[in-house]
Amino acid sequence: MMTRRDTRSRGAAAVLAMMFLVIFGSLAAAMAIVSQGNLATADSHMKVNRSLAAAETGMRFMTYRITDVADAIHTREGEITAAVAEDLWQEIALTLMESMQDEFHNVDEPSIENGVLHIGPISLGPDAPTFTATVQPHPIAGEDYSASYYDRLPFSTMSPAISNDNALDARWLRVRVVAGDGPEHSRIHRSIQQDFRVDKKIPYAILARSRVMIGRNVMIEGPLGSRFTETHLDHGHPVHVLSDFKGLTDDFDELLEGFYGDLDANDLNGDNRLSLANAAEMDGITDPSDWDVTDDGYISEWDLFLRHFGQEHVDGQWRVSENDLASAGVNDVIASELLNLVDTFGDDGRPGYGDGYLDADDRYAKIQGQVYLDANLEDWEDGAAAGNYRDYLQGPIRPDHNHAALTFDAQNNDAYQFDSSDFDVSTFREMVDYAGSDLASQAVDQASGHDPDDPDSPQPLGTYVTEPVAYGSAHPYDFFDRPVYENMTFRNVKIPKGTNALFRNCRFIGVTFVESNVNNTDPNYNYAGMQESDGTLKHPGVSADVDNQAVEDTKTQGNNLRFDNCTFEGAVVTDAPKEFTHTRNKIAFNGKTAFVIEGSSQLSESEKALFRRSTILAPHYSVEMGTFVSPDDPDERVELSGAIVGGVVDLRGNIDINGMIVTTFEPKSDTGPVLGETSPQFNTTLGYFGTEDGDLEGELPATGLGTVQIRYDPTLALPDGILGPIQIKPVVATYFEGGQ
Amino acid sequence: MNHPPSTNHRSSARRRNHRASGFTLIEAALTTVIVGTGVLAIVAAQQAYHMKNNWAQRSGTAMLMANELRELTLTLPMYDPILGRTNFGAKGDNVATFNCVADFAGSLDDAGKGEGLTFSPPINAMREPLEEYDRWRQVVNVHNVLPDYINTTIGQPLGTTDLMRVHVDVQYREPHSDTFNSVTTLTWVVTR
Repeated sequence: MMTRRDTRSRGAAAVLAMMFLVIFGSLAAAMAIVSQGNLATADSHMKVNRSLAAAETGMRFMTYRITDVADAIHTREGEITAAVAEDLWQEIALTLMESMQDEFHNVDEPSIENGVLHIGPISLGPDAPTFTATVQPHPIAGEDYSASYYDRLPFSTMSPAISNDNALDARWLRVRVVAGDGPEHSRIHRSIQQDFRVDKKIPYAILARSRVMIGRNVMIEGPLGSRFTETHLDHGHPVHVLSDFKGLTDDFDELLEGFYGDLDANDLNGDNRLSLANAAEMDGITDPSDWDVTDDGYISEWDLFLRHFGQEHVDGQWRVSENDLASAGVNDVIASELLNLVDTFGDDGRPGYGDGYLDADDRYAKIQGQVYLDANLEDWEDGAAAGNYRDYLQGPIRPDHNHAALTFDAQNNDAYQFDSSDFDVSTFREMVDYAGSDLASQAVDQASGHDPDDPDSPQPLGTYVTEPVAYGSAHPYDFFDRPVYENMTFRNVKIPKGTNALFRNCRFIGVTFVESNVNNTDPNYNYAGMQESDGTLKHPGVSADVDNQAVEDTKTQGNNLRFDNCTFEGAVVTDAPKEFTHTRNKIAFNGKTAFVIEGSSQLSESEKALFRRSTILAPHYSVEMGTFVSPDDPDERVELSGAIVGGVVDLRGNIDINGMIVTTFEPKSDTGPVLGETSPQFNTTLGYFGTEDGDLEGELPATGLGTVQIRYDPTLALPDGILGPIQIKPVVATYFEGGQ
Repeated sequence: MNHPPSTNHRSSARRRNHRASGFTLIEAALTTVIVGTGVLAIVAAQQAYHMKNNWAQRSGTAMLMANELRELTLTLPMYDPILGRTNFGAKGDNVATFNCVADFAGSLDDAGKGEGLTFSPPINAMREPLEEYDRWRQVVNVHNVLPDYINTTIGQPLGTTDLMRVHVDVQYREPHSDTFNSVTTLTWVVTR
């Protein structure tokens, strides 16, 4: 028994030791596996993040390079169709490839293989991840366009729906970036793809080469750009924007002044609002949420207006009615116009549209978009502003998501430096190139049908009126003896140079082509033949060299027209003079003016498609709309759509524009028609200003301010003939991580 | 084999008894050595595993902090929308007032390049200090780079190009140490 026990005892310790060894070994192995797993997980996590950052960098880098290349590719096509895009792709790919060759960060050179542009690998730095990119147009070989991927926006709203039978076309480019981090054996990749859209747009509600003046009762939806830089001159503000609420009552003005002081101290991004989410902008503001009565996260003069004049109709919701304004002492006309301006701005289907109240639903902003100024802030404040620029830029600015509200030294406007030579109006000229298109023959035919008993019948020819220019201006600079055409209908008509007519109650169908001599570069062109009100010459002895001949009256070379109560079922197009000579080349629209495209029974579908892209194409012409004197007249109303192109454009009274305004004249001191340092006097004016603000044509009317509403329509194509850059923009909704 | 059985039996029993007690000691010694070696090995291994786990944990935390800064700057423009490409570095290190990526470059040296900023304690994407991470800091360097040379180690003066490279180095300081060591870095490029 002892021997057996001893034998068992002798073996137990060794077995136990072995068992411990096994247990320790297992524990050690388990810990090794766990910690190695942790290491691998952390390493993968790090590589995933670095790769993703590199892929996003790659996408931003490609967006930057593609955008840059697009700015350099110009076309006169106004609408980028699939066929146009296919042709453009060759140029895009080649230009992009050549622009990225031999760059220092290239691990490999770019190449084009089977129609696909391959970029990279490109390194982000020493021991940093690399990325590659491919760019190719749709349709992509092997792509399943019926896959659920295409159920997303923006594809899901396309009609007809995207499918293998109706694939995306060459207007869409797919950019795919793949980035990797780590050594080859444990490299981790992340990929991002995004579709880009090839288009041609001028993405502004207003793009001016001159100073821009935006008065009271003017609202703008869309970006605003000003290329004016002579800020050292008197009134040389690149933009001059007036608050819609200043001047309502004295006590509210006092409140606004206090708020402007807060903006000066706290507003960091120039949007004329104070963000509740930004501690620095809230510095010193007590009970900020009480002031944000619209609950949009910002305090602006709109909140102050609602709280000051309004009433709290439900918990925390404030609204203002016309009666509220009247009882607070606001002028009836001004109150009515302000309510109309804000309450009817935007889509008519939006909440609160036209409900008779001003409230949070109206989402008011003076400018709903970005403001891009070529001017430098310091120069402006040292020069024309003589202090704080905010004195000349009032009202809240609500930029698009992820965009800066106000940008100085902007480069955004550089791609759109249109000169008169960039406009080819031959397409429109060809439409009036037929026998019987001239004004005289069409007018003579109609005047013969004059009925003395019918005041609405065409009136006889031969009547002249002497009018000041600008019409209705408090400070006219010239006078014209105008032939009058009344109650007539013109179709695809050509108005020869020197006509200088007044069209009253006329209807224009198709193209109204205004001719003028384009060789108008003589500095005296504006002044030769200029008259005083009594008909005497303003500048006796002054003549201009036109086509190598001395011309004493250049009114015979240009066209200064006024349209009063006219309807246009088509477009007004002019020659493109080499110089801006506003006294000679000018078109003015007064009275009840309407541009009717969609509702026209006279136009074919193809003509409608053409004319809805631009209703006024008048490069280097002075374009003037509305009235100087009676904005409260309900018959003074202008409605426009599409691109409005002019040398400078003035809008006053009651005007609705669904499209954009582009001005071509860049006034520079002592250059062309600008005598001395008077460039600020050549401005694009929306609404009313007085001479003290540098508007030498108008004064503030005594009977209200009218309303001007401008909404940029990104869906509208441009007219053909404008030599401008294409756009290749990423469609954010198509951003996709991963994929094939 | 020729010895009397009884004598052989006694002597073999003695030998067996003698061997039994001797084996136990050797066994105990061996066991001690084996177990001791195992314990020492496992302690050493555990230290290594702790270090690995710490590295893994810190690496994850560091990457999180780097990403906080990336998220913070993601929606910012390159340059101050109001001041443009002038007046860099005027905001110091008050991150609440930063409104562009260039603000993260810090004050400028004589060559016009940002000297970088250090956030200690680190901050999150909401610009809030992470007080509980007092052994951590984020070192940010922002430089302009040329569009054809984004991987350069030599940045351009601030405001001179359309591209900026942001480099975040997240560093950790061991307890009872004043020295910060880099845990992870994250680099990305922003464009106008």
